[in-house]
Amino acid sequence: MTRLSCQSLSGAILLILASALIAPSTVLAHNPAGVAGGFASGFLHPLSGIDHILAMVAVGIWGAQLGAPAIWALPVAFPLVMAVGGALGIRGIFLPGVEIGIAASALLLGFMIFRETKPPLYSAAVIVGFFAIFHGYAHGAELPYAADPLAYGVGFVIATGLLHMSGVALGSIHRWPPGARTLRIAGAGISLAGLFLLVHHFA
Amino acid sequence: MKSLLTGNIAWRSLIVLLAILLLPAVAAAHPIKGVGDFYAGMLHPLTALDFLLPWIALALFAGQQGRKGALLVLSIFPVAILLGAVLALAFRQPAWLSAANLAIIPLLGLAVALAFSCPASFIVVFSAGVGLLQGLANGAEITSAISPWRFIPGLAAVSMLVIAYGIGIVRSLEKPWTRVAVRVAGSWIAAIGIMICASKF
Repeated sequence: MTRLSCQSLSGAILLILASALIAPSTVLAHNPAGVAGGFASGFLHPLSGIDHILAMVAVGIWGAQLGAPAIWALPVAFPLVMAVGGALGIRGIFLPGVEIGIAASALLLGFMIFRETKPPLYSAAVIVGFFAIFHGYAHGAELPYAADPLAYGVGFVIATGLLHMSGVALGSIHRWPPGARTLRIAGAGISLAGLFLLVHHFA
Repeated sequence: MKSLLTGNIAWRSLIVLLAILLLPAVAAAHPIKGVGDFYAGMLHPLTALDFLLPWIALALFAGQQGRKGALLVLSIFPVAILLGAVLALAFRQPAWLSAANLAIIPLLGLAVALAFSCPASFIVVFSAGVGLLQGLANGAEITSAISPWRFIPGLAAVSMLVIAYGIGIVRSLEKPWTRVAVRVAGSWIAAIGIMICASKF
């Protein structure tokens, strides 16, 4: 049983590695246009800001700490809520404090991981969903200007999903006591990075 | 042993899916030149994301519906594609067609994400409607240089293949988390669809 789940985990990591290897070939093309350009810019957008990477990986780690059913509910619900935020950004509807919201999400989610806070599923979903709106907004605002908006959307949703998967994969060391401690330290690190970004934003 | 085998199949199919998703970047030109018209019909819907996303979603949806529902989608969708494409030869493309085809992406994605199990009558209407809309849009792109009587059967054949693969993948999944992975894929497609509708309407 454990061997099987190890196998699927290594499969997941292989898949992430494979897509990371494939991505540069699209990126290397100079001045990419059309579908390739749209996909590349969408895929890179969530990966180009440390605040986004930290918060998305934190969602996955926190999900892994919370265990079932949160670990399955979050990756299904997150893209849907993020898309609502994305739609706001696409339509250019004003949303105040987007960058502050993103930095604050790394701060708070990192703190949840550090404290191993286990709220009921409903409130975990509300916390993550609230921040998902800000993340979606930041990515969505760029979508209408992409070489191919549909391919941009595909790229940015896949990149976000892969960041969640990396978080879940990292979070699976939770089962092992030293692993659980490592995760808490990582949570503290994410939280501090979020704090730094937040202060940096106001300074 | 058996679950190990199906696990491998699921992973391989996922990698194939990923490869198909990345294929449009290579084959943006369309219709495809240099292959026969039958194969042009087969490749046409696979090389544009606005066809590929709803087809993948419908295939996953079919796999979630149990044996009877899956067979309904598998039999009705290709026939509706065929009908729609033939209709496209006779009539001009209506102005609302591309909007309707974009609107079905979030609907299909949501149906997969929520793992709706639908009554048979709903499945019949749903797959016939999606098939007609997609058939009309694919048929509208047949140029005078292409033989429609080769292109359209190719289109219908690949629609059946895509649905059959989707049903095969989803029904071979046994572990609960792999079923959730299907719902996650639906949620990704729904998210893409919501945003693309927001940008186009």
